[in-house]
Amino acid sequence: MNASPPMYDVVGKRLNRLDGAGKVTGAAVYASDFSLPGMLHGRILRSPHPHAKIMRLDATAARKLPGVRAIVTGASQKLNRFGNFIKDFEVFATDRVYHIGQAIAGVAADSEYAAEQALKAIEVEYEPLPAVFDAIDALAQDAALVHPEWQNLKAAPIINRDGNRCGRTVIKFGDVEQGFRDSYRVYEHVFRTSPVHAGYTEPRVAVAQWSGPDQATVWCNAPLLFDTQSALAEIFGLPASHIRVVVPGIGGGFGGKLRLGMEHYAMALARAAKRPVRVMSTSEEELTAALFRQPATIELKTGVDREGRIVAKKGRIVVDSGACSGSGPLVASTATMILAGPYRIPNAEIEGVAVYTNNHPNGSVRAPSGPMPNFATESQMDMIAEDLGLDPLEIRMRNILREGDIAVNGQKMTSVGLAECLEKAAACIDWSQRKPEQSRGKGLACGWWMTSRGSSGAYLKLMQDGTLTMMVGVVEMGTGALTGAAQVVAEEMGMQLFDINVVSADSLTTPYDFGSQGSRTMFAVANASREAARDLLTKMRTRAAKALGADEGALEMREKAFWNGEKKITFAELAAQANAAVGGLIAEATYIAPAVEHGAARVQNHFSPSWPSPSFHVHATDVSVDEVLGEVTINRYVVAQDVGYAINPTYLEGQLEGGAVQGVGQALFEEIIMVNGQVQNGNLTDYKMPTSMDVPPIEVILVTHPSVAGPYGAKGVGEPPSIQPPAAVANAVAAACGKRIMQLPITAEKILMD
Amino acid sequence: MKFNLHSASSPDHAFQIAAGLKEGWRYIAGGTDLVIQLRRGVREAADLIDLSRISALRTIETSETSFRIGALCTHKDLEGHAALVREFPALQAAARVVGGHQIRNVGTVGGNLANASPAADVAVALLALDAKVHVRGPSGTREIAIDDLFVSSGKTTLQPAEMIERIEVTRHGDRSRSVFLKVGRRKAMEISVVSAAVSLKFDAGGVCESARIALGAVGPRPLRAKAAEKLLQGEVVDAALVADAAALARDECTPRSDPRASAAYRTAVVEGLVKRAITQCAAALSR
Ligand SMILES: Cc1cc2nc3c(=O)[nH]c(=O)nc-3n(C[C@H](O)[C@H](O)[C@H](O)COP(=O)(O)OP(=O)(O)OC[C@H]3O[C@@H](n4cnc5c(N)ncnc54)[C@H](O)[C@@H]3O)c2cc1C
Repeated sequence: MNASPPMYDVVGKRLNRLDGAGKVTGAAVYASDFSLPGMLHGRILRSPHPHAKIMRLDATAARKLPGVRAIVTGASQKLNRFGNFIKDFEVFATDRVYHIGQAIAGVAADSEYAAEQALKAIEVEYEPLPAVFDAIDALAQDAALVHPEWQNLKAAPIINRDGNRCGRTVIKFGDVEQGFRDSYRVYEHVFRTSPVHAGYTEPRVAVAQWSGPDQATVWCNAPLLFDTQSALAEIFGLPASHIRVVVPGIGGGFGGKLRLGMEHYAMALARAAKRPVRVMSTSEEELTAALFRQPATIELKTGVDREGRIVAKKGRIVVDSGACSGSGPLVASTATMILAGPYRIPNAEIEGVAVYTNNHPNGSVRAPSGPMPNFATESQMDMIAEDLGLDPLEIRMRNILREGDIAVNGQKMTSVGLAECLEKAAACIDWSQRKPEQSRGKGLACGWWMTSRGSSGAYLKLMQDGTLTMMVGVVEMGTGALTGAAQVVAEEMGMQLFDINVVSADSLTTPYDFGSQGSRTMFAVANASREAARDLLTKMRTRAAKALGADEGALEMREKAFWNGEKKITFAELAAQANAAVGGLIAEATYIAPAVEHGAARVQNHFSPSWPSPSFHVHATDVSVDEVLGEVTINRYVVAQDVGYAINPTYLEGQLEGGAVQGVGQALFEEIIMVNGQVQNGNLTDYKMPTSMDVPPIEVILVTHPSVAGPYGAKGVGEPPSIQPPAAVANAVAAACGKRIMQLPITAEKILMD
Repeated sequence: MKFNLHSASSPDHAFQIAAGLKEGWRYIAGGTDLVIQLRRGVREAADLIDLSRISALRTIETSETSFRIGALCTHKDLEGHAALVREFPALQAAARVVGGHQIRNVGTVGGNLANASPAADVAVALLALDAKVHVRGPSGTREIAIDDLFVSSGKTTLQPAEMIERIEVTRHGDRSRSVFLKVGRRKAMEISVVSAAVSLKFDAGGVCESARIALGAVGPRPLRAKAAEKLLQGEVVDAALVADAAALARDECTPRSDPRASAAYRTAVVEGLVKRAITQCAAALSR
């Protein structure tokens, strides 16, 4: 850690998290624990065809089965299309299916078993249509269209569409072609990545109950209360306030639950059955019909001078959105920044393209645009270094962004901890011994990410026992973000962490929030709550001065009281007085991170052209490769991340450790294997996330170059650690055995056979 | 998934229950293979006869000449039996890499054999140890050489209602040694992509008296590489011979491609794995 930061009473401390006891003892209630009296169980019938016309759908026999209470199809309920950027999702297919796993009908029954029996009794006839499964093929002029009616689909204006292309972003400046002509050497490679699951433990689940013909409540595990609320409002054609979204608790999300999961199905079934309905996806559905990380094809061409300095960079990342665009356009757009990387680049042309295919729709997974382009950029950086006879650390040191540099988006960089991350990670892994023995080698990769913007609100109220209740519209995902925000509020209020009561995750009662996503939760919620705390303190001070008959300026605040010499009034007394006299002491505030200036002329159709409070990170790993079997063993794994400031080092380290392990999963093990749109390994026997035997203890180095906007200088931290592992591991494998793997995951088979 | 569960207190009790059931019932021990198959619809059974309460079949008996392992012993029971694993390190190595702790606490040796997966780890180790399988049916008992138990993936020579009672491994003393190695994508919770068990017995002069090479996930059943075994028998095991034996073993395999690995990878890896297993085994014997 860095040299002596200022000392605070609550922030910066390794305090136990507010939600810890409940989670450790099992008392915590998760969405999957939630049930209501009279609740039915819903199951979904899914398409076995990647693209087909529905010729006939007959649920007559299914309706007659014992215990079946309601069946909903695309024809039986009028539901509007939905989708983040393009309205290309249907709740239940109407006349056509465009991917395997697409919902065709839902059944609500007395038991899951009865619902499942009914699914088998629904008769459907299909007429197969031509389909396309490869994103590059789908871009061809003569490719079968996934949505022949794409021009009629409502879309956000920023989306640049054309047939199967459902998004295109460009960053362009300088003259790349001239740059390549001026280069000493030019390198051109193609990299590929596979879809992966977000890996949350608790499946997606929702319980819905209607309290009238146009009013419903949904208990679910959605990280974005208000986005979920408005999506449901749109589908059901209701005012948003008629739908209440409550998250009792969430067993992990990692981005995979950002978009609708089971909520719309539960609502449709509950409306038809006139009873509460619970729908929970099975683990097979999770692995065949969840919103995966988009697979990508990345073409990358880089020209460098004799010293390995980048002269020009041209790249294109094509992400497979699947049959509905989902997060794809955004992922492709943001990926342009990662593909460029945290480097000084004089000439660039970087393109991010999202494409429809007849694969299952994909979504967002932790740092949604991160690992795919980073794998390409950071692998190629090592390949260039090797060709030029440079040390991979040295080539990065020559190219990285430093304080005051202009990044590819035209933004002037400040608070850049990248060089320090590189130096510390390299020192920690003992970089000077890069190939310590036969079949063993070390690799590193660096990267950057942003702290997403989006606004947060906070309500505070002083309780009559002198504690503080804080109401915010995010969901505690398990990261400890709300503990961090509460630490900030406690620090401001002169309270202890456990004096802060947090109320969250209810769209009806809590203020608006952009939600638990984008590495912004603690950052934005703490900033809003801190602002509210300051306002509350002002009010408290005014009342205290009056009560003590003193000047506000003369008051001292300590031990949860205001003091005027020996005389004091406690927070509890203040609250009691105010409760009796004026309806209590309350305050509220909102926050949105300030916009960051960027070069508008450099970007086209870019979703996040500026890069607020960027974070910088370096991963370094030491691996051994069994050259007979191809197996990789990770001996050591180091993460150095510029986190700005560590509000609670314990949970921050937890994020970096967990993120790295998740990234190692994508690097070595995980892939949703699809053949013609059909998942081949749709179960946890064959979809392989790392076990504790596969990953050594992650060594974490916190680097702290404070962000001006962040609470106490903090930057967003949650997503970045899963960006770099594929590249770091690929580079280490190459150092260990000379094999350069261009396609994820880096399996033993590829190492041995490719 | 829906079934009736009948708990048996002894083999005879199980046969009695079975006699009263319609066809299509099955035995269940730990359920770690069967329940998954039922859930996925790979197998169907309206009635299950639970053997896990038959405590008489959960013992490991030691005699001068052999160990008799009850079919209901869990992988943890095997792993933790000091005398057994001292003499048969392959058994411990195999039991130790079955799934994770939870699976090893409930999954049984009998289930691992009767399920007849070509990738079953303990089955492959037992195959290299020439185990005898003691079987009991309503009309009596019989003994099957383990090599005669497996037919193909999921199929054994067990007759309807027959159950595995015990598995017997013969003791060969100090001059024999066994090794089990497994390849998979992960280091735990992994169905073998390829596995190899080798058991060697050397005479006083260091000549290989007998060799057994059993391979997993490279054919329709756990298989013996008999040509490779023959090559080693009667010879002094040196590096050149090991390489030849491994190449022979490779040629005895008929692996398939599946989402876990391609046939080509399995073929490439089995040779290296066999070479390593024989080498380790021989090195341990000459120590
Ligand atoms: C997560 C997970 C990981 C796994 N990892 C591995 C692994 O790494 N290696 C490996 O080899 N296996 C693995 N398995 C498979 C399984 O755990 C083992 O094969 C286990 O030994 C099966 O034993 P069981 O008692 O659970 O069998 P059950 O599921 O109860 O039965 C399996 C079959 O055998 C029959 N049967 C059971 N006992 C008898 C008997 N005494 N006589 C006759 N028939 C009988 C049953 O009718 C059934 O058909 C894994 C399973 C899971 C769920």
